[in-house]
Amino acid sequence: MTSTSSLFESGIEAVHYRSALRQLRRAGRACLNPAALFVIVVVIGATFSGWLSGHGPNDQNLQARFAPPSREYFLGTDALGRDTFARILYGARISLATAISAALLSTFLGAILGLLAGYLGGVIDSVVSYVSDVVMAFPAIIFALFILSVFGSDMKNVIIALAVYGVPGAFRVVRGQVLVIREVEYVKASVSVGASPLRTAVRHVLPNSIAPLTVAVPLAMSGAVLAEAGLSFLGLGVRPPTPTWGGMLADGYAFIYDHPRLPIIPGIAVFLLVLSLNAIGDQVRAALSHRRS
Amino acid sequence: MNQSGLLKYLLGRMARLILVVFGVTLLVFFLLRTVPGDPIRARYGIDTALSAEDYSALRKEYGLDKPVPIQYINWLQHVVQGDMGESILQRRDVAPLLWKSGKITLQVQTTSFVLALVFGIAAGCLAAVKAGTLVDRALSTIALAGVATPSYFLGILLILLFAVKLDWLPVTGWRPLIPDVKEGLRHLALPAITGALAGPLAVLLRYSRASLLEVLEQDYVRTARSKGLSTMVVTLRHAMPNASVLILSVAGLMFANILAGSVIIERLFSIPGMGRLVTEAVIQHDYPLVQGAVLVIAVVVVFVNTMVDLLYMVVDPRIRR
Repeated sequence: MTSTSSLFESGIEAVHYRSALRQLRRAGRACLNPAALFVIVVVIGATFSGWLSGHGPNDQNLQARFAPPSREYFLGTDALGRDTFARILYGARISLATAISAALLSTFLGAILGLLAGYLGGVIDSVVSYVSDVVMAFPAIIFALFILSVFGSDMKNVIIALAVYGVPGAFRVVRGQVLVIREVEYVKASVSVGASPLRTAVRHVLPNSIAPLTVAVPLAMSGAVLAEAGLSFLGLGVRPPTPTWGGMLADGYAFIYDHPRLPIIPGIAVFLLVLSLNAIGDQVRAALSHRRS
Repeated sequence: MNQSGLLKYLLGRMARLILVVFGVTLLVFFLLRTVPGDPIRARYGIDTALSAEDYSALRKEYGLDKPVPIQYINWLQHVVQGDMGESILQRRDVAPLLWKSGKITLQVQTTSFVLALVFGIAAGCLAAVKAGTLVDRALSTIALAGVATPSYFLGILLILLFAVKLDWLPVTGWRPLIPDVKEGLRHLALPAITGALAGPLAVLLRYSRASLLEVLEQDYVRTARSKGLSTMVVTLRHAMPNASVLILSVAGLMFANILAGSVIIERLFSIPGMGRLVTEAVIQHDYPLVQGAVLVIAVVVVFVNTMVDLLYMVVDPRIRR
């Protein structure tokens, strides 16, 4: 490669990465709001749950069953006299850990597959697109049920089930974006100066496909929070006595007549976390489309 | 697109539809057989003294002694002839079991879908026409909340309000619409409303608002307005047809979503539908029942998506070319 062509190329690259970075910064600025603050509060609560709660999530106090909120039990206790506040904090660990891992894993795998399929096309594209169609035609919960009954219900497998199910969504987003970017001049320029397909894909196509993914990650996370709680509600998620928000909802549902607080508190926790993640996704999207227009 | 082009397109879609359904059945078949456990053992319990001969005789009766690929081909041959086999645990034919529970699921889910469609699109259009006003802001806030409310939480809130506090509706259970329509509707109301409100309605609201808003800003709409047409006529006759393409695609996705949500709704309201049937069947390793149920669900989902694609062409003549 001659020095002029590499100069030419690096010039284009710098613009790409700088613009990708600028997009991310703009997205980051958009995150300073109540939604992001709530997510930060949940993260802190989950991280320091032992220190904040004062009670263990499985400590039973049978003298204080169904205790109303008090100074001792901030959100009251459940049917076994366990501290609801402690269980919410520990449950946040499961929700956050599954959401973050499943969303990142599915986005990462989806991005790689989307890049491959969109950029290489041909047989690879057909095969991967076909498999993604098949997975998408499968009802989500039944799919998760399969994976959990094959490998057993623990957190790792819940994450795998949700991640595998989320891959086709991320795959479609990235593949669509790659199909557009592939035809843009700077990519053609890179090919015409003799860059290898791998180099073109990684250095030119990939950074420009980052934008839609920054929207996809928070939304994938909120989807994973909903799905994890749904699985736990059905009794298919992480096994008791490990506290999960979905499990607390299901347990509390039995006492809906006398202690409606029990199912409502974990419900509000799921609702607020999902609402915040969705709001962050919307704000990132708005920030990005603002940039485009 | 001319006649032969259209035919070719339709045939292509059909081929894809069949291929995807085929892939789903293949995946289920092999996944089921990797699940540790055995339907015969599940049926008789592990402790029951089932002699080795009886065990292998039962395995043979259900064709489980053959290699998995042969089992698959056998199953496929029977399905093509309309025979989905016999549920190993319930010892009844799969098809009538699915039909009975499927009818119930279909009633609940269709009601949810229609509710979401009608109220979601109507509210979305109202928000778009009144963009920026208090009405718009209220509706958009409700939509934001609706997307984030899981059905298992919303269902509990609705039960608390309408069944526990007000005592207007039954908490759980299911009654068929015939013969007692009133009791049937009372049992249908909460699950159907929960299925509509938890997600689909709000998503449809947001998409209809966004797509109609975009169309309303276009020149031809301004022309229609300047002719002195009423907002109503401009929106319904001029703007809606163009906005409906996106709304349609989202509606198709929502249908599949509602179907998947039936597992939770049916658990919450103790409804003997297909979601519950298939969950239990997976847990109990009832191979024929799971295979049949997943086949039916995949056919419905893929069929609805294909119909949506075809409806695009009806709604938007540009796609036909």
